[in-house]
Amino acid sequence: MLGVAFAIGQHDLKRLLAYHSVENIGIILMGVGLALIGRSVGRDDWVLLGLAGGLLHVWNHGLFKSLLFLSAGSVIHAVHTREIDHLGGLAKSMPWTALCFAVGAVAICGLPPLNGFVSELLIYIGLFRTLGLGEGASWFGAAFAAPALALIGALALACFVKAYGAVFLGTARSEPARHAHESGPSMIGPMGVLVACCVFIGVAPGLVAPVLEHAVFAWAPDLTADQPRLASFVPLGWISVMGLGLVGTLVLGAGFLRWRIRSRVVASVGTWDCGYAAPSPTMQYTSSSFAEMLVKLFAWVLRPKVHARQDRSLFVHEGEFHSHVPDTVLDGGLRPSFRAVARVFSWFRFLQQGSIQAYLLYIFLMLIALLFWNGLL
Amino acid sequence: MQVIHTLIHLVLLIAMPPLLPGIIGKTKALFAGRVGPPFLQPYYDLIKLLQKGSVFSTTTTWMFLAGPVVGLATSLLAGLLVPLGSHAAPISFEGDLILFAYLLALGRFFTASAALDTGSAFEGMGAAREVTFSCLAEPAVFLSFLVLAKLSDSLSLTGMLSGSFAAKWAEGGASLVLVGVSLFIVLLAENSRIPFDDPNTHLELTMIHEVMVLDHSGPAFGMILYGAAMKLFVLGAVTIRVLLPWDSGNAWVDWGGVIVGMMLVAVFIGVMESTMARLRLVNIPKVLVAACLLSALGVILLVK
Repeated sequence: MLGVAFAIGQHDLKRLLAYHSVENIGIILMGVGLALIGRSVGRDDWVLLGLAGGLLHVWNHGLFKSLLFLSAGSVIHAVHTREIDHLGGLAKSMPWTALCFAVGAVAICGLPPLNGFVSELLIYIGLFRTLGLGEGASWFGAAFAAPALALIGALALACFVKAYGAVFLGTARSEPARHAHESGPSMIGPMGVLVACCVFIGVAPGLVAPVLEHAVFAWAPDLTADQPRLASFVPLGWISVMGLGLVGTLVLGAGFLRWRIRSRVVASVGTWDCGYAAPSPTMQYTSSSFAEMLVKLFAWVLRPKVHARQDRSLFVHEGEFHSHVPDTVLDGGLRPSFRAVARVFSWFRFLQQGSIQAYLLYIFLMLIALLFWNGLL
Repeated sequence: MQVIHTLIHLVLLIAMPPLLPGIIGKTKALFAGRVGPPFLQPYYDLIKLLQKGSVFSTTTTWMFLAGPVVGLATSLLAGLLVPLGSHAAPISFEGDLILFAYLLALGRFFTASAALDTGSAFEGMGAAREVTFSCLAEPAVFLSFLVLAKLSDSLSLTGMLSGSFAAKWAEGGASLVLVGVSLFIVLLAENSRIPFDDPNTHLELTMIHEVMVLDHSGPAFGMILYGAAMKLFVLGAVTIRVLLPWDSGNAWVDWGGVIVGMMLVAVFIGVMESTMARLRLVNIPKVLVAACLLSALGVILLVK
């Protein structure tokens, strides 16, 4: 959950994606944890659902995260910056990359009809099945994991709406972004393959289920006796039906809208700006503004830093405002402790003379010390 | 017989939603001492919008039109999963409650993205608020589903909501009341009603849902209004079933009960909107956290 909270505060496109790996690995571990609890209480369905969900999420994460990184790479190739707030409007100049990123974003948020939904559904159903246990505290902890997963899903959604919106939608916020161009087919092609995989697992999970069952049985051989089937716990057929139904409804709706718009007058003007005469791209809502409310909710761990020079005089002068979210674990924990360790070790620098004779002397002294040590014992 | 019930479900789901905003508007007019627009005004609006031309911003892409389409399609499919009154939903399977929640989330993803597509600061604000508040509403929904699933031993909305509630009330009446209140708060937040958002406000800075669709016009805007009404209908159906779970035993009377129940929801929202003001934006997360806590308390009460 904290992984996704950090991701929301990020300005760097690649860092944002990397933080999402923390969140996804959390989801995978949720599945594995459920399987372990199931194994200790002897519930076959928990083992099957948890482990199958976790394993499927490993695949899915590999698919949609690669897709997102490839699209991000394509963007960076075109504009040479990873700063989200310098991008914008790329969907016009890079339509295919934008489409691929959108598919990856929907998949990583676990939304139907793509693959992320299937693996999260397996874990959800497993978690909800712990309710049936009735008494004891073990269902309680597992049950509260379901709302936590829901919160993670909603936060991921907020984060990817932010990323997609700031990078691909609106108008360009910097000169390179204005002159961006679509990447070549050698970059788009692999993304297309990954998109196809995401859609395939999302729409036809029934075809993947046997492979998953096989993998789970390898880990839990005692399950093989009665061979529980994934399909008997999870409505894989219904997922396919609803996925196709969703696509069908979308196509119908889009066709209807197209027909209505085609048959009428269509005008094309600038975005409504409340009558302001000279709107500029810098007035768009940036990704940091978008995330501001959520970052504040998590301020107790994110510790966002704001540097503002406000203008309090009568006339307008130049003001400035910066805000960024430092990495609490890296910048607040690991780096200072490693720096401290490095400082302590630098006191012993004088020992490192660089001459062979000195090192031979150290070895000789050490040898004598060890001999004495041995003798004393 | 089942075919007829499915047909009635479809007809209600498709035809009734625009009536709800009409009833809300009439109730508010009554409180303000006005005559107010007729009950069927939202239908007239929809027909009018479908016949209008459109204005598109030059910055927009396909995402701008995907918003309304996905929003309407997801509400419609979610509506097929929800049982109306004691009648089973047309589509129901184990785990459909998760699909239900995620379908609405998919709609939110595209509505918010469509808002960002215009590149306007107002619409960015609306989208940011929408996704922020839903982050807090989502756990409340899932905690409520936990209570309902625990009481009914079922993982489908039909299993949880249709059928007799008598045993459930005996086992966990207090939890059900908490869940009902929590779901109602979520209903208000998700549909951008007072106290979370004022649909009639005139200032873009204070809006949530209305500001996201500032640049939509004509048929696309009609689709947005229709989709929003349908979302209100769908979430209302879930809430009213938890709060007023009585069945008459006669299938036809129950259909009447569904219609009256939905109207009651609309009237109640109208009364609330007439008697209280919109909360300050900074206070909204607190209300939503309260909703989460209410349903979490409901779960805790079930632990024996």
